[in-house]
Amino acid sequence: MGYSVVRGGERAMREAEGLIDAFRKGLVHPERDDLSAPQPEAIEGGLRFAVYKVMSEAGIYAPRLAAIAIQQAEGDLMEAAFLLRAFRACLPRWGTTLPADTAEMRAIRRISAAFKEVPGGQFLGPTRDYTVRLLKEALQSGSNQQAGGVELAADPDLQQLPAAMPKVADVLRRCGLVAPLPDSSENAPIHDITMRPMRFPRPARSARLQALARGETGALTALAYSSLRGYGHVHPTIAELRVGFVPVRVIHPELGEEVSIGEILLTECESIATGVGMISSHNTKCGPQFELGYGASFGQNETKAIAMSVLDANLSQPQAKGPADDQEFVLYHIDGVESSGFVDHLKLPHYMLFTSILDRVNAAAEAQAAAESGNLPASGADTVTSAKVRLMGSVVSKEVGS
Amino acid sequence: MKPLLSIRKLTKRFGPGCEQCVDESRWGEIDANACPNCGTVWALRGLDLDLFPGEIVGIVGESGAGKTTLVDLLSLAAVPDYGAAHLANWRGGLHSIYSASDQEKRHLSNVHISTVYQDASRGLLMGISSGGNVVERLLASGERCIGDMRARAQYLLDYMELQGLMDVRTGRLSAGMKQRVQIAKALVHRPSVILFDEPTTGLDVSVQARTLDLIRKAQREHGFAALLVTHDWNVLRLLATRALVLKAGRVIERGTVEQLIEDPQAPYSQLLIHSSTT
Amino acid sequence: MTPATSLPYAYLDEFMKACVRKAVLKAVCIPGYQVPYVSEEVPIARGFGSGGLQITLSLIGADDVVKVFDEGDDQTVNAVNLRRFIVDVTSNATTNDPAEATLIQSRHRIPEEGLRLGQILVLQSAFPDALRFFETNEAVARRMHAEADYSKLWLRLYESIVDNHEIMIGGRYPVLINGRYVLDPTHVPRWDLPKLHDCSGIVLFGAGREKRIYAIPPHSRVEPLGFTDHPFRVERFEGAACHLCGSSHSFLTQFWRDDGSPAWVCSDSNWCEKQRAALVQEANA
Repeated sequence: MGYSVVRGGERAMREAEGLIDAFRKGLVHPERDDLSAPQPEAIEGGLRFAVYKVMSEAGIYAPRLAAIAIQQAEGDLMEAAFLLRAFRACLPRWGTTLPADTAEMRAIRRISAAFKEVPGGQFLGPTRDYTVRLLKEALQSGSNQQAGGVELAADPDLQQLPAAMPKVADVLRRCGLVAPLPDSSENAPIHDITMRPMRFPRPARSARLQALARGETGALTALAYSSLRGYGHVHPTIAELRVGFVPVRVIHPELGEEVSIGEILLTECESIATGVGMISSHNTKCGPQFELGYGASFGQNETKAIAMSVLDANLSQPQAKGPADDQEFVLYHIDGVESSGFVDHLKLPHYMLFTSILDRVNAAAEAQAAAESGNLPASGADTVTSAKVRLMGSVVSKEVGS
Repeated sequence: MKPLLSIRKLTKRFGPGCEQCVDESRWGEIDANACPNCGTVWALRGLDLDLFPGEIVGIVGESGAGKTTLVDLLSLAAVPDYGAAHLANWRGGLHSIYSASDQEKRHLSNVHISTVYQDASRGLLMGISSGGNVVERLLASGERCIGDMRARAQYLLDYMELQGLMDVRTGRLSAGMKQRVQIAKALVHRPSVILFDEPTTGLDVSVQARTLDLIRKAQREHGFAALLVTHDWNVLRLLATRALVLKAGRVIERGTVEQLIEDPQAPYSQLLIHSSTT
Repeated sequence: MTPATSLPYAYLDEFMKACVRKAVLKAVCIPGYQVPYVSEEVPIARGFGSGGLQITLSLIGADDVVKVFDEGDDQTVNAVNLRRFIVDVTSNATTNDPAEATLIQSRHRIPEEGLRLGQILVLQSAFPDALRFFETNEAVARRMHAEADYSKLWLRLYESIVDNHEIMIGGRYPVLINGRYVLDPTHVPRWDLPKLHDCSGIVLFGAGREKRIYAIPPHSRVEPLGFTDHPFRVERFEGAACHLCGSSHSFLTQFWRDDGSPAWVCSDSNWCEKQRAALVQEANA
């Protein structure tokens, strides 16, 4: 009987989980003894960009847990971010860190696309931007020491990076090209979207930044790119992009003093919101000023940080020009856990819906036939002969015969 | 006779205003919208007008005179900074329409004060049939019988000489037809006041003449009062009995249309008439 | 830091439960209003019932008997998965029989036999806003709801009748609750909507991904939108009957036998089983 097929049952589900386990252990090709599954150490050590992406999209800085999630998800980074986020949702909140001052970042990389010389200097650091993208088969069997043939300790530049560098944005503020920071006392309210729902049309900027920071890298990149191509207001100039370690500080619960509890790797980008085709500065009492867009991401994820800064600048524009300027459009569609989950839910049965739709299509066909044979007063004068049936709120349309 | 719509000191400005420009006694001397001192733009300054049942009053002036602001205020799309407007058949004329809640405002502009816009896309949903656009007003006031609503829409669209177009998407109609759909929509609740905002501007001359004829016919037979915003003295001559000349947000002259055309007093009115009739 | 091994009762932490309960209370007080709430991740994917699960886990008490079904069936994979998780984190009793359940989580169906006093039905909702299909802007839609300005929704129904002589809405058929808010009842078939009217149980809707909770409190007036001369209609199954229990007065879904011939079966699997049991009893008596 055909019907029993659709009821998967518990046994099928257990078998499915067993298969997933087997595949994770490298048993996709049992005949291949050269394949093995990576352990979390290997993922954390060798797949750092995967770890950064997962931490940033999960909204929690925990490299080892991210590596475990990646292992469990067999490299499906969206799934890994979901695992880590569901874990994060259960964690008790012990407190809030003090705002990190990225001017005191121990940078490993720092560039500006706006100025050739910036206070503190530019440092290329670890980047693939200016490498030739040839597939190097030799890497396959290489160990850590041989990998690039570079002895890290022998590079003198790395040791010369200043401990702290002034921020380019602050330089721009001093020149009056960018509005000064609002008076932010340390108690300025931060809207945490995991504690309070975000509300439109005008969510707080902190809510917006948090939603962007948790956004899926690909989604952010696509939307920012659409703005650069003219479907939005902003085509920015990167005032500064820096990657490095930032101390995390809290107030000691007993001593009441500021203490550092470690540092995290962070990518930060500040973009000057120059416009698409036109310079979009706004006139203030202090003369024309630029908007700054802000982006930040756990780990080293430069594309995401830049895309975030572009979108932040886009969303500051009062008038939407394209999708990337529309708060609801951007903030409701960039979350990878939500979007991938909902796309995947299409695999669930929708028999009810389809039965209901078929009923409507048949009813319309009958009504149409009745109207044509004159049994029903024609209500739609010139649409009666139309052979298409349009379902409301649905992309389904069906030929109902001539 | 009691006025149907009584407008008093209607004022709209964009900006904070300063001591110099908020002083009403000086408004007579001013002939620009923007205050030279503080930069505040005065779109409309202290407009008084009584609209009586069944009459059409013209509003003339160049762009920037305050015509569009007046339409926005009376169609309840904007709120004035000062001033009031009382409609005799809403709350007994005791309350200004600007004291209405948002819901009441929607009711007012759905039932009592209709607007026909120059840009049809402001007044109509282009993806919806022309009949649907008319029917929307009936739906908004709670009617739920398709047959009755269609009969009413059919009558009005036929009346506007749009036979057979009831179920055609509005976006597919010509510009002149769209204006007539707007008029049919405006008439559906037999409103006491209709605002015509440059209803025939941009139409071909022959289409314009036909549309004006239909407005005149509808006005005679349905008996609404109307404000007609236009810069075209010929339109005014055809439809309106009296008119106001606006400049920089202020009424600088008022009278019957004939008086204004034959014997304009203010130099600005003279200039307007000469430039359009020659 | 290692992943937690022992989970609290009903998985969610107390802060989260409090947020959900507050939203539920507000939703019950303002029938049909979509209450925004914080919807953090649960270990069930978005789109698979995360919002319904949050409500179930926030309301469940030690005495609750839980039923989980999906599209009317207790044994579909998603229902099994959700039920398994609920049992894992609560050890509560479960049932397939809606008459025994106090807390019922469902996707796309209301039990064929309806709800009784004291029962809570949690419906998983994908789109909380009935206006979404023509108005995507949330701020605009919220204003329409606030002012009960539904003429544009009615207009879509009118246009549908003009185009097709019928209101062409399959599922997510909008209903008006207590004459005030228009509500999206999720993809339950239109067949189920009359059961919502003057219903003795509480119906809660959880839209986790969209972060909204809304409710139909007991004995609310629930009216599917319709015109006096084109009324709301439920699905018709003229001449069709369930091939298992013979029922011709329940919601049926069509399927194809191996030989390609069509047949019908009750969508509510438990209801169908009860009908069959009754038939057997009748035959034995």
